Parts: sequence; structure tokens; C-alpha cells
Amino acid sequence: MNTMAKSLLHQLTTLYRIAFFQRAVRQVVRFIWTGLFGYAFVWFLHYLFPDRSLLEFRWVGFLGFGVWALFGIFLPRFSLQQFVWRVDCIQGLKAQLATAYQCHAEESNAVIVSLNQQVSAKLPEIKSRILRRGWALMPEIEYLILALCLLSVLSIFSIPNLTIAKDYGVDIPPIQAERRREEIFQNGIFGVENYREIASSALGDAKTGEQLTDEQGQNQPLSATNEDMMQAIQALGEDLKQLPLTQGLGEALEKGELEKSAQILESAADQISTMPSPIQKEIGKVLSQAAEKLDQSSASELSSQLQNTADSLQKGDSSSGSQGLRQLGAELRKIAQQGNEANAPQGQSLQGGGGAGVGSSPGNVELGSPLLLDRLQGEKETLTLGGTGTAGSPIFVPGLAELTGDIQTYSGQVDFFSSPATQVVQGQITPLPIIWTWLNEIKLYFLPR
Amino acid sequence: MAVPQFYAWDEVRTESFVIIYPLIEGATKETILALYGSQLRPDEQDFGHLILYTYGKILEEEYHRSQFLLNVDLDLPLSVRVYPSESDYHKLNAYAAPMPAGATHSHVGEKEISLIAENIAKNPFVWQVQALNAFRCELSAIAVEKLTKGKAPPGLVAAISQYLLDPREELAADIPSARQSMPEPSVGFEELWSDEQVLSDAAKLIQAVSTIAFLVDSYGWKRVLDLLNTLPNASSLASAYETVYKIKIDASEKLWRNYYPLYLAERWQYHFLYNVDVESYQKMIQKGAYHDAHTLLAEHIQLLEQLGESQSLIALQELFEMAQAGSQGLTFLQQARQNCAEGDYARCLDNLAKARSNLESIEDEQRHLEIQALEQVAQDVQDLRQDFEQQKWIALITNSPQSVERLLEISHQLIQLGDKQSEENIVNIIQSLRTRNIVLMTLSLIVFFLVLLRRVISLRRRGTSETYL
Repeated sequence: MNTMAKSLLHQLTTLYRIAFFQRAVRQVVRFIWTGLFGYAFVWFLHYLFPDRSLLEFRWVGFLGFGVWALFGIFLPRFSLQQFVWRVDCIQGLKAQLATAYQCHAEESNAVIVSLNQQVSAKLPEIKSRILRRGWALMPEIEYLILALCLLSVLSIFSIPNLTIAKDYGVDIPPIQAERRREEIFQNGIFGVENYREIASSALGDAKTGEQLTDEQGQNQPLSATNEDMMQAIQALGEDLKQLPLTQGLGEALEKGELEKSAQILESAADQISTMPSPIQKEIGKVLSQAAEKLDQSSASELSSQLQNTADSLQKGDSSSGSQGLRQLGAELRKIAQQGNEANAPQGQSLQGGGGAGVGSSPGNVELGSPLLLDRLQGEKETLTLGGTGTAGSPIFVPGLAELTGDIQTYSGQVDFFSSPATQVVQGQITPLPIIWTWLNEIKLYFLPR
Repeated sequence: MAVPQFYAWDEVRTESFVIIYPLIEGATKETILALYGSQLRPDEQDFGHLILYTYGKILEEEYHRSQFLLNVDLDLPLSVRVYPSESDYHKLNAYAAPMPAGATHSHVGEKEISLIAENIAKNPFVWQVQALNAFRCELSAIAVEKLTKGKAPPGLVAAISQYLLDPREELAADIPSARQSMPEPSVGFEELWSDEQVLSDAAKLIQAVSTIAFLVDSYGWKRVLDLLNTLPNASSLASAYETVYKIKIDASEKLWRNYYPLYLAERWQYHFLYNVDVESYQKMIQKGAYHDAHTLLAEHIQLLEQLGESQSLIALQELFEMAQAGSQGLTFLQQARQNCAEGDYARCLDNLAKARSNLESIEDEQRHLEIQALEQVAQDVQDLRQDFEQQKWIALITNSPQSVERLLEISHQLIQLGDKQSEENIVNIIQSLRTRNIVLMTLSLIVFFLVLLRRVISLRRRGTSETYL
């Protein structure tokens, strides 16, 4: 094979490679736009069948539609001979290129040599045309633009509603109102913190023997223990109330609402594992302080339970802490139950005492008909309202009642509480002891996204 | 029948007092002068000069003290009259309130302090110890009489005048017996205050004094003065009480009945002038009632300074400073929250720092969590603002629903946190997003249809493309 033939073959191979590259580029662009149509198709399906999980298949749609275009890079396969023929056809070369390629090895034939020379001379022009017009990218780009437009429209439809609810400041953490003198001193009397405690000790010194005997005879030991326990719990409540984290619990304990306190503790037990570690530790610290104070009083069981829970929380063991809070709730319920049981016999003895049997004694239920209680006059009879006809009673007539006769009116201050304090009581309404951060989280969860 | 005795009287003057004394001779005079006489010149050996030189200065001081304490101007000169005996006192003052037998001092109306020479002479050493309290007590009684224009019932006058003495000196001896004999009140306010015999019965006197202590502990000394000021024009003691304390006297009595055992147990020893209950102020501060403690301490310190009672002043001033720091700390904290609500987070953080500094200076950790929570909010807002700035560009450029969603979420959070300052920015961005969407939608549709048209035309023409492979 002479040099010219070799050169011809080399140049044709180069042209073939260029054309292959052009086909690869074209197919990649096709892959993109078909993929985008697939993506848009799945997105559109999401509108037809509103299922959020469908959106996760958008990229599957992209690949599913687009992957076929990638196969087009290699398939169908064309040989060099087919390529040369195609160039002949497209560029109108009257099969010169195909003939030259086919007979390039026949060096003895002067026609072939001359053809080879002529084709070699034309090859730069052929190459230039392939490079200029062989890309055929315009249709692909147009389809790509169509796909992008479609996606753009879809994305606009997918953008959430552009509105903002102006609920300002709802989540700003509250500040506990400043404590008043009346909250620290009982009835606002300076220096008087616990009426009952000091009064009972003061009076205790002066009680006569007779009084003491009477009291001892009335089932006192259990209720005295309960009394001590309740005082300890109320004091604990007073301390816990000061801290925002345990305000609700503190208030309930201070009021002696043990059942409510138990419910709060159970609710906290449910939430504790989801709370951040610093808050868990802070709660642990508060409970530990409370346990120390409680330890000084008679409520030692409750105190040890509190301390265990506090230790768990401070160590970051939220599951033990949660369990501990639950047990604390159960402990409070137990105390409440003990209190009820301690009161129950007195009630029974009262009922028993009401019987007409002989020898009834406090605490023993006797047989016999109960004594009739004094009833109100007219009880169980039909109530007839005053007034006649449609006028009826002035109570049922809208507008001003016609008042007749001597009407007594009372004026002056209403003294509901017999409190010497005239100041306005300030405080905050906290319906549930949920910490503000959790309120925020809950709210964020339900906000439109 | 006793023969009435007639005495010649003489008088000496001080700045505010005229001391009237009988010119008598005898054992009484000798006994008293034996104790004090060495200070007197031979021509001044009488009761008048004795009182003048021994108690003249004290009388002037006590006069000014009671004038200030009861906020009343007494008619000068006041008299200090020395009666030879109890019977002379009763004969010369037929309408005066009864005086307990053996008493050394009393008062008549709003002008005269009465001293009984005979009873003083019985135990001059005791008188020497009690003289200051005697003058203090009677001057208070005279001031009350003047303040109420004589309408104060005798028990109330006695209760107030006794209350204004140091309880550790006057009541300590009688408290144990009162605990035994009368652990609970026997009568109500009105009966106690109307009882002329209060001074004769130690247990009753303690009850009467406890009523004043109760009123002072509950409402403060100034309100007691208001009650005394109201009495002259009131139809009754009960109505005056109700007017001043805004509570019925019966209801108040119930509270006092609860208070009385505490008074006997421990409260009796505290007094706003002599043995100030510093611990209770400390408790108020420890428990965070700064404003109330601050107000009470300010009044209290002012009163003590003006009376020259310096015993507890330093301790109270220290507490006052603590209460002030706490009160300011809480004010800063409230302002910080207000700033937070207004969206002024820079100022919020500034106020929180001040609040923290003030409250830490008095070792108050009760507000620590609240400060932390507010700081957290302020910090969150600042972080969100930064996120918002980044996210708005991403949303505007990419048009991705996720980025817009994130932007809206940040906006919601900012608004929930009360960041009103970001409101305008948020509204602008949302408006820009809306405009961009409309433009983009329109352009997309136009381009879509144009390209589609071109494609259709190209497909119809065919054969223009040169695809070699």
C-alpha cells in the first residue's frame, strides 16, 4: 500500500471518529432532555395522584426515560464503509469517496490512483462540512428548552403558598412575675411565713391536759404523719414553683393536688427522653435540690425516690429518669391514697354514730334506721314561681324587672377572701406545664410548610 | 373623812415643757432628793429642778422623736406635773383615765405628763431605769390624743404608747405568763381598744400591743397613723378601720387571732424601731420579692435615719442595695423581654447582660433559666436572620420549591420569635418571589410555544440535518 492510500484511509478514519463524537454529544443532550421529560412526567403524576412518596421517584423517571438515549451512542453500529457511503450520499459526492475507500489498495490502476488523488484533495472540504453541519444539535436543544419550560411551569405550581401568618411573639419565653410580699408571708403579714406550723407549736405549749387527751383519742398518729408529709410536700412545691421548668408541678404540690402532680410527672416521664440533654440535667439538678430539702423533713421515701431520679437525669440516663418520674408519680398517688384512707374512718364513724342502735361507738357501724335529717321546708314539693300569665316571674322576663315593695340593696366592698391585701394579684396563666421550647416545636410541626 | 390637803405649786420651764411641782416637804421628797439631790444647788432642792436637770434634755429629745414618729405638732408648752400622791392625781383630774394602782406615771389629755412622787419614791431605783420609757410612753400617748383629738379609745392609746417602747424591755417579763394564761385572744379589737383597764392587766396589755404589732407587720406603721388621723372624723372605730385598711374589722380580727399565737411565740420581740426583723427582709430578697423589699426598706431606712436609730441601719442598707440590684435586674429582664417582643434583639441582649450582671451580683439564680431562654431566642433570631439572607438568594436564583419552602420556614420562625424588624424584608422577598414566578411562568409558556412551533415546522421540512452516524 502506497503512502497516498494510507493517508486516505487515515483521514477517513479521523472523519469517522469526528462523526462518532458528534453522535455521542447529540445522544447525551438527548439523554438530558428525555430524562427531564421523565422527571416532569413523574412530577406531573404527583399532581394527578397526590402521594408525597411519588416525588421520590422523580430521578427514577429521569433515568428511566433518559437511559435509552445513552444506548444511542453505540447503537446502531456503523462500519467505516457505511459511514463513507453515508458521507457520499449526504454531501452528493457521487460515490467517489466510497469507491476510493473500496479500491485504495489498487496501486496499478491509474484511474484509481487518480481517484484517490482527487478524493484526498476533497477531504479537507468534506471534513469542514462535517464539522460545521454534522452536529445536528438544534432539534435536541429545542427539545431541551421545551423540557426546561415544562419543568419551570411545574416548579412554579409546586412552590408553597407564599403567605406568612403574622402570629408575632407567641413563642417568646415567659418571665415569671416578680414575687410579692403576700406570696412570701402568709396573708402579707411581714415575717410570718407559716401560720399553721408556728401557731401549732406556740399553742401546743399552752394546751391544757384535757385538750391533749381529746386529741389523742381521735386517731391522731396517722394523720399527724400525713400532716408532716403534706407540709413537706407543700414546702417542696413552693421551692419547685420558683423555677420555670417545674413551675406547674410546684404549684400543684403547693396546693396539695397530689393527683394532678402525679399526672404532671407522668407527662414529664413521657417527654423527658425527647428533651435536650442540658434541660434533662437542669431538671435533675432541681429535683436533687428538692430531694435535699425534703430529706430534712419526714418524707424520706419520697426524698430517696427524688434523689434517684435526679441522679439518673444528671447522668443523662433518660430511660431511668423517665421511669423514676413515673415512680415518683406513683409515690404521690400512694400518699394521696393514704391521706384518703386516714380520713375515711372518721367519715365511717360519723355514719355509724348516726344509727339508732344501742351502744354505737365511734368507728363501729351499727344496725338500725338512720335518723331522719331535718329537711328544708318545701323540699321535694313542686316549685311554683310567682307571677301570673305571660308576665310570670320577673326572673324570666327580659329587660328590666319591675321591682315592687321594699327592696333592700347592699353596697360596699365584696370581701371574698378575708384578705388584708388590697393589691392586685399579678400572675401568669399557665394551663399546662409544657416548656416553651416544646410548645415551639409542636407549633412548628403543625405549621404549613 | 380625809382632810383635803392644799399645796403651793411652782414651775420651771424648758424649751418645750413646763414642769409643775408641789412645794412639799417630807419623806417622799427626801427619798427622791437623796438619789438625785447631789446634782442640785441648795436653792434648787425641789422636784422641778430635779426633773429639769436630770430629764430636761431627754424630754426635749423625746418630744421631737414622738412628734416625728407620730407626725403631729403638739401644743407647747407641754406640762410635766408632779403629783404628791395617786389620790391627788385623781382629785385634780376627775375625768382622767383611771391609772393602775402604784403607777408612777400617766397623762392627762393632750397636754400633761403626770408623775406620782409617792410611787416614784417607793422604788426610786426602778424609776431611774424606767424614766426614759415612762416619758417616751406618755409623750406617745399625748401625741395620739392630739392626733385623734381625744377620740382614741383609752385601750388604743395605751396599746400604741406601749407598742412604741422596746418590747425586749417592756414585754419580755410578761410574755411567758401570757403564753400560759392567755394563749388565745379573749376579746376582739374594739373591746380591747375600748378597755380602760388594759394597763392594769399584763395579759390584756400584751394582747392590745399585739394588735398594733399585727397592724404594723401587715400594713406598716404609716397606716396606723392613717387610722389615728381618720378617727376624729369617723362615726365609729370600726368605720375608721374599714376606711383605712379596706377590710372589715371583724375579718381583720380573724387574721389577728391567727397571728396572736405567733406573736406570743416569737413575733413579740421584733419591732420596726428597736429589734428590726432583718431576716424577713433577707427572705423577701432571697425569694425574689425585690420590689416590695425595696419599697419597705426605703421607708424603713428613712424612718430609722430620721429617728437616729442606727442599730440595724447598716444591715438594712446592705439589704436595700441588694433589693435595688434585684429590682433593677428584674426591670432589665422585663425590658429585655419587651425588646424581644418588639424585635429589637440587640437591645434585648444588652438588657439581658445587665440583668444577668445585676442578678449575679446578688447571687440570684432563680432567673438564670429565664435569662438563658431569652438569650437563646435572641441568638436563634440572629442565626435565622443569617440563614434568611443566604436562603433568599438561593430561592430567587434556583426557583426550587425546597429552597422556597425553607425560606418560608425561616420566615415563620422569625415571625414567631417576634422579629418584627425582619418583617419588611420578608414581605419584600415574598413579593419578589411572586413577581419572579409570574414572569417566569409567562416566559416559560411563551418560549415553550415558540420552540414547539419551530420544532413542528422543522419536522415538516425534514432532511435539513446532516447526521453522519
